[in-house]
Amino acid sequence: MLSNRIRLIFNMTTLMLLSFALMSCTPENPQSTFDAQGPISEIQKNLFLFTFWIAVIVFIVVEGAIIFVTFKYRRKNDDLPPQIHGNLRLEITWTIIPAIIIVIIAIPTVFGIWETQVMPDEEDAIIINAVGHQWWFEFKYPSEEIVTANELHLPEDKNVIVNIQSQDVLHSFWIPKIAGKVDMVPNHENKLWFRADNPGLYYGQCAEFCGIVHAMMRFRVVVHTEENYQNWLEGMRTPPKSVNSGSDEDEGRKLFVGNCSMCHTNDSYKKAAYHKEINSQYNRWEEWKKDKENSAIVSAPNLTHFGNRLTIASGIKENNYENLVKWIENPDSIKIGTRMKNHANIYNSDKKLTDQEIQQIAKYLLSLKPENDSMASYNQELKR
Amino acid sequence: MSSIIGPKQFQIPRIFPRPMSHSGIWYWLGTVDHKKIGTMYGIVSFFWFIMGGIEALLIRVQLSQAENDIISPELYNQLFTMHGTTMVFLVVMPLSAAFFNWLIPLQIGARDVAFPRLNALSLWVFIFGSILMNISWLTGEAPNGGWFGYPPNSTIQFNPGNGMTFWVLGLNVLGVASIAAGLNFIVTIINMRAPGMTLMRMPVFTWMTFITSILIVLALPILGVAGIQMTGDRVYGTNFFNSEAGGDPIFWQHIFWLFGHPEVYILILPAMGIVSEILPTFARKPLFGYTFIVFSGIIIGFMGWFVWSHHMFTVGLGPAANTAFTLSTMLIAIPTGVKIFNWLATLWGGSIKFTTAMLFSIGFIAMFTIGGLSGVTHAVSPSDAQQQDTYYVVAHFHYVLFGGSIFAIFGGLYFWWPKFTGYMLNERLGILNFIIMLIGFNLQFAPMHWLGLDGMPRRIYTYAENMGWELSNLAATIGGFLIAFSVLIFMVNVFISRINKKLASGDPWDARTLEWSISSPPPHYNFVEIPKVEHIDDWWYKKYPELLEGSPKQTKSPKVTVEDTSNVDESKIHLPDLSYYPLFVGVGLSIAALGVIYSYALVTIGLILVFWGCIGWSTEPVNEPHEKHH
Repeated sequence: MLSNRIRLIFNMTTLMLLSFALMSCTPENPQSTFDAQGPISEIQKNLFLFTFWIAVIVFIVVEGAIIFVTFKYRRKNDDLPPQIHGNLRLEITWTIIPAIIIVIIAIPTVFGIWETQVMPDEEDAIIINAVGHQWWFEFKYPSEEIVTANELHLPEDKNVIVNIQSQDVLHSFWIPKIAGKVDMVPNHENKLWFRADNPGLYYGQCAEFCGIVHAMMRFRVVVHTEENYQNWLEGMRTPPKSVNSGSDEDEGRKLFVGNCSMCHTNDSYKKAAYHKEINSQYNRWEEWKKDKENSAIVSAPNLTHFGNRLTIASGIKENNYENLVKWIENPDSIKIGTRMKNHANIYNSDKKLTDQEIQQIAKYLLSLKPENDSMASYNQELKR
Repeated sequence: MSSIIGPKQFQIPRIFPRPMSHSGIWYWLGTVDHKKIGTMYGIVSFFWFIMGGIEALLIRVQLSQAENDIISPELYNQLFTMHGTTMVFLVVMPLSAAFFNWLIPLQIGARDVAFPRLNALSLWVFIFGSILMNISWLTGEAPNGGWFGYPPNSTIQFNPGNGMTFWVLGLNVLGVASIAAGLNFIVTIINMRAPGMTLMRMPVFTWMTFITSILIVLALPILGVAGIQMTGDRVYGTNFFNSEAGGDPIFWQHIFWLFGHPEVYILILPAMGIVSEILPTFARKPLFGYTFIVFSGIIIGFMGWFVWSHHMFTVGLGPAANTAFTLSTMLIAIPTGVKIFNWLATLWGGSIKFTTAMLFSIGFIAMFTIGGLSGVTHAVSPSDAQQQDTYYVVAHFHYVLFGGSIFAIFGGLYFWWPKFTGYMLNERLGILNFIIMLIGFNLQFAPMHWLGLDGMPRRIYTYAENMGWELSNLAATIGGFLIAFSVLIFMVNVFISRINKKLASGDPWDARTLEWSISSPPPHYNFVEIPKVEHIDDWWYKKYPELLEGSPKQTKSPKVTVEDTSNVDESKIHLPDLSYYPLFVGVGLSIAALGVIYSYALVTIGLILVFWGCIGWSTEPVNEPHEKHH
């Protein structure tokens, strides 16, 4: 009877553990912290696993003891068990044992804190200024004078220092496979450093609750080989292919200038455009602050070479014609609550766009790619 | 004994005569009996438990699959904000308060708490505060800034509307209730213990209540200050946290967690007390290492003040601060571990009877251990940078607060139900309740560990299909419904016990502490004669004095039985009379708070009620000077 019950419990436990095992250990998931792709996430993963295995030992001891006593000391008769009030030596022992375990965990932890949080030399690092906005990420490369949004391009094997800021509310900058998160706090500047070991596409996501569409504030990180990175930088400084006058793209360009360009800059490839964009972004923000209800202006993602972006709406949908048309038509259909939908005149006044106009804008935006695009094939590969 | 008549003094006109009967709605509205107040605390907070549970289920339904759009992002944000706020402030705290109210006077051999009317005030302020906070649902503007209310997302600049104003005012009103109750229990436990009950003879539950009350009195005012600042920001244009005017959002995080971390121990210490009463009873062994358990509780309560920034490892406090708070957090694992080992040693060598209460208590140890261990992984701040604000955190604190506090509270309900009501609960249903809750709980929260490690952030209302999060989320949703089913079984059990009316004896479990030495339910005066206490677990040794001499194999039949109350002359027992004034003050406070949102007329009405209540309160005699007690 008893052994049957034990076997049943044993089988159920094995089944549960198995199904848990099935669900865990999935480094192929895009945001899995088990798939460390840089020294920072590697330190973090190893520290976690170190603590985890110690915890597993304690878990087995404690839960084993619970299971043991529940079987061994079931009430069998009315006899009174020995009335033991305590045992000082035992109790001191199990005060000291956790203390020793804590010391064992604390030592690598403290080293880990300083290794991950003390910034490396700025001389041979890439500096990025990352700014959180409701609900998108702005990335600036101050030494390269490049601005982009929602897509961070980096070379492999190079230290990166990210200056982390926020314009409005709290956000958090997080690329699970490369580095743990650091919060983006208005009126504060935080720093995070990391290095990406391998080229590839990585996912990032805001991890601090930031309002209605917190769930849809994501970004992508493209880690290049050094050569591709230089190509990318070069591309960001060259103008896009010019559009034929009279084409859909050209009509789209005119509509963009008339309806979108007060918030979205798309010509930051020009010389000195970097500081101009910082100024205009600041002015848009100040404009919006004056009248948050009715302002038609709000800070918005830079769209320079938008045609090469992998996603739209800050990492939500693939950047293709259909999605883009849908997005311009009604942003709420992809991401509810955006500032664009709530403030842009094309949605909030009688200046609504026709279907044809929307399609023209979409075509124009997709045509925004550097001339002699050496990255085209690489981009196609990443999209897949 | 003649009633106590105050000196001739100003008496305001008594519009409402004092209720004198011992039943009916007017009696319940005016009662100052700690047992009735405990019952009302229990019923109201169980109602909010159901509400908070429904909120949780809606969250789980929305997350059960990727790209779900059953619930809008706005509603989702309201749901998780109110789920957290409800479960912390309207469920675990007041459910613990229900136990404090019921048990503390009984465990220390007193007739009531030190300030019975203040006790009633706590209850009414809690009830109307909880209603105030939930009225926001009816206005369509429920709070949506998270239970932690981080600015700037909770400031009027980024969160217009009344939602977060309801939240912050509700918390301020509820804080009044908690602080008053905390003071009351501190004074009660210090001053009202029966003769012979030294501090180190107090039951462990009383000890944990004592420590919790001290934490409440020290921690809730911090939240009160933060709440007043936020009210100022949202309603009167101050700039404490308004980042656009240079206010500091990190400032809020520090004060919130300076309150918030002791709050965690406010939520768990009563649960530890409950378990420490149940385990020895059903193992028929004294608690192993009473002194260690008590002192580890004190140390936890003390060290809980030095760890708040571990909620802020990623806000950029720098490596020095993170090191300090990492180490202080890890240290707390030591007294917590001591408690777990002592409970295990209590079971070791015992003669264990698996009642529902005992199963929940053992379940508590098993689940709380998991929560404690994942807590240690959080303390490792470099790797916490990966886990912070992910579902791993959600898993961790539900193992502590559900697997911990709620399991213990259910254990406590099954254990003391006969004492509270005089009726037994059905044990078969109880065991079914436990098993389903245990399975459902683990199915819901264990997968959240992997979700977090797989990079799923908290507080997102939707997620993409390719993230690999669907299976775990679906499992969690199923688990959530299993928990709901187990709670339903509990309610059925309560219902059946009302119908079957299987009477409970005064001491149905052969238990150890004073509350079991009187009939079930206890008479309104509790003890006919205030007991004289000679030992820890005094009732146990009064029953079996032979245990004090040697270690007999068998107990002889009990030497004493539960007090017989059939021939008691109640007029010899002094009890305070009922009073409506706490109710008036409680209603007035909430009306005034509501007025802060809607109109100064309401504020005026509320404050008039409060002042009238206070004056009436301070001028009414403790007992009516009339014939009743002669």
